[in-house]
Amino acid sequence: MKRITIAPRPNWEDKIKEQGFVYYKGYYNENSVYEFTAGEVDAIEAATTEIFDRCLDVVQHVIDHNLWDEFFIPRQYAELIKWSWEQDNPAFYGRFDLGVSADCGQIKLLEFNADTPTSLLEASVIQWYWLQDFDKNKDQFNSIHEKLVSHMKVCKDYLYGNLKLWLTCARGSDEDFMTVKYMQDIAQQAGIANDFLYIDEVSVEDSYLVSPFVTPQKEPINNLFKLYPYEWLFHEAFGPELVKKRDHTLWIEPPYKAILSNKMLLVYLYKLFPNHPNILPAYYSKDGENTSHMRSYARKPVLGREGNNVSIFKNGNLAEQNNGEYGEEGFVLQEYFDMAKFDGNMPVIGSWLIGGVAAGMGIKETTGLVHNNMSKFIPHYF
Amino acid sequence: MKKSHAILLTPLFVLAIASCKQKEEEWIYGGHEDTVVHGSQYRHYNGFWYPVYNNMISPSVYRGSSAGQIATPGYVPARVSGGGNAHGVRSGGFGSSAAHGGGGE
Repeated sequence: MKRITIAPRPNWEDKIKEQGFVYYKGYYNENSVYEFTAGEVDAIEAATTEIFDRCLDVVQHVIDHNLWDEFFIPRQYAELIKWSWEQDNPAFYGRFDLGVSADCGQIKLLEFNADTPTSLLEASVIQWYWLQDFDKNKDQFNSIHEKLVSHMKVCKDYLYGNLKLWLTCARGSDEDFMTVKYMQDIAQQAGIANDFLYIDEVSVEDSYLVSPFVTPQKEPINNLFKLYPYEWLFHEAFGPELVKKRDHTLWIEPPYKAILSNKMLLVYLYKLFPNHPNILPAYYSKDGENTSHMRSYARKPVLGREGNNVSIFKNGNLAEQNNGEYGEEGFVLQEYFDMAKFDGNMPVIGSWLIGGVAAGMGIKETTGLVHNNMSKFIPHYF
Repeated sequence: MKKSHAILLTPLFVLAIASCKQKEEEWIYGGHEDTVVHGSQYRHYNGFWYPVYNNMISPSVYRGSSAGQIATPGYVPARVSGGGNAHGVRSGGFGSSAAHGGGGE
């Protein structure tokens, strides 16, 4: 794995904006690229497949042992989660964040963005078009777009009711909006009837006890793809309606993603597979105090986002800390992994799963120890 | 071959792009007095410090920070609204009428 300085393409900003990457400022500058060997890419692909299988083992374990309290999931949603798992409800995507050594000989799971992953458009589309201009003879670990279209065609047969797929996110974020609009575009290409609405427009029609969610115009929402996390849905006004309406509105990603997107997943991966080469030691701590043998570790809130409230301790001392509003449920302490660094830049591999299949990667790098909203997206090839 | 053979985007997506591109004027060259703290560049503008990207700042995208805040190791400027690449500061939500931040991660 190498980091190479490159010259940006002429008019690169116009090009990426035309491709939908309108939220690139401060995040992408096309000044560098990562070069991999085919063997390194194969190793990342294989590790992604292996880690995903182990994650699914944890879901089964949580369900078999009713570990809802341990995952801070309200018990009123336990049956819904079990049901979605047993029914194998459709799931579109997920993204592992992987730390790697410079030769990819060591690949470690840092976390699993299983429910509401972003960085999708830049990984799937933007870096693909960049490679077309840079050197179209080179390869890239990125068939995300093709796999999304193929997978949605398969999922079409499992949609509810009128087979129309609604797609939703919260207001106020260009990145979320463009991510959902990209997924809508994929649905269009897969031949699925589709439409978009914001999450605060998803409504309940009081006159029917058993009915789907509806739009403000009272159109039934039989299928809803959401870029909005379950940990928020479960605690909001319409949360209990998810349970009542499970046979009338199909939610994608499925409710069992509430287990996979929870950082307690890291603790149970280590409990179940303590000697696994891709899994780091991880422990739960209510108050964030370290009582383990670990001297260097990342402290992450159980339910946190975008690096908020993440702290890095090295040799027992606080090395870096991110602010935020999370941590109420306690913390996961995960052994620090000394990742590859290139000229002071530390890349994290965002390894994508489409329909449970390893599909490609996007790379973000930071000059600090915690990846957050100051990280940069860097294209790659091999 | 591990890359997509072709990528085409439909007019549906092009329309979405157009609706977002209308907001580009949010990034400006205003302000004065740049500083670099803990490897990040900031610019003083209307009494606050803003992160500098491509020699521009965006008070409509980032909340202004105090000098004490940017001096804090590990400090990350907050965005005005949330998002997958931002902090998901939110209020209200599903089944209420209040405004939301982003939900991505």
